[in-house]
Amino acid sequence: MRLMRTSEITKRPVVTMAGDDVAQIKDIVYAAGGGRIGGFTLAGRGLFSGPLKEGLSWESVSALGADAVMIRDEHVLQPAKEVVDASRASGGSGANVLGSQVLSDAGVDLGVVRDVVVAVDSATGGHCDVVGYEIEASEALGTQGEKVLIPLPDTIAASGEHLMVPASAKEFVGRDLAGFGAAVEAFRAQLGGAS
Amino acid sequence: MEWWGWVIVAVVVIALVVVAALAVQARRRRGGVIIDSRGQNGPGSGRPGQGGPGQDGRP
Amino acid sequence: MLFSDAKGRKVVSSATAATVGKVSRFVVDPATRAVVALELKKTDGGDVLRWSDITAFGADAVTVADQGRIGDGGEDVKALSDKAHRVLGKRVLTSSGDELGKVDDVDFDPRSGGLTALLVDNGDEVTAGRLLGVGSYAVVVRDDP
Repeated sequence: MRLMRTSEITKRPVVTMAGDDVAQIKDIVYAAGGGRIGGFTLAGRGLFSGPLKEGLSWESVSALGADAVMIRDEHVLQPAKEVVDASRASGGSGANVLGSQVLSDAGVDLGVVRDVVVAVDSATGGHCDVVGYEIEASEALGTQGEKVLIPLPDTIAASGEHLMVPASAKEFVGRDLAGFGAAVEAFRAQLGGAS
Repeated sequence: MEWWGWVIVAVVVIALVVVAALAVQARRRRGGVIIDSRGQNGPGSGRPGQGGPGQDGRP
Repeated sequence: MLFSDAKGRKVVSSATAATVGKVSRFVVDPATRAVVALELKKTDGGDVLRWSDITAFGADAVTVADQGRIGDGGEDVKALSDKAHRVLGKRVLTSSGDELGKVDDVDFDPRSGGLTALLVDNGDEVTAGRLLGVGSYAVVVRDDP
């Protein structure tokens, strides 16, 4: 299992096995229940290009590497609305969790979501899931401005406006990805399913 | 103003338009992380494994 | 033989024993993993010599039966001569999406024109058999298991 921040994946080139960069990653789309990544919306590669009408579903990805997202050829791209409802992807508004306020269910502002952590499975036929959020803590956490990680199962719900967490979740797990990885493995083991 | 004054104005206007266009498109390319509440899937939901890609096994 | 060594080699006609050009660039077909033509400079007419028209690619000169063999290369060679198909200096990407570096040099068999290996600027040597494609962004090679 390999952990990555979505900030590293956005803007990464989408390259065919023939060596052409046909697009770059725009949004990462994940499911509300469970955090499974469904796919990506795309943008063009030129200086003057904007978003593309095509998207890329996770099943069509051949590999997600450190420097590029590999696909077999450009025919695996599909209309963006099959990957996500087009209205949700527009201009970073709608259902974009980045920048949303972290709110405890007691109504206290705990910080702002700055990044999302995903785990990429190393097994063949593997999948990619959101495993947590990186937030910039507010005064209420007593660590104003510091970046802390909170695992997905410790959250209640998320939308483009808020990330809801239980009031009891003051002990956020991990300040670095290494310790966070261990917590994620423990969660997976709890569920009983091998990743 | 002399004729060359207008040339300078034209060049400056074009430059501003180009910079604006670059900025607008860069903003439109900016991506986020979208939560999609259409379906339920993920670990622990009992959904059968989908044919996914092979991944590079890095520790 | 390396592209870096072979570049600049003189092309001599067996008919006239005169130098008819110099090797400037190599045209590679990623599908067959072989050099399919040479782009020449300092010629009298035409600037592409198809591999099949070469008599021999020797250590000191490339020999050709006569100057008339040098032409435009034909449609298939022209399609492989654009920037998207150039190998030297291009980014090397594995099929798992990781960058290795840039192509420093290419090793080829002067008898068949077949590529032997790609030499990457990070020190790696990628066997030609791993070559999957050459495109506008990168040379894609199969991941080393």
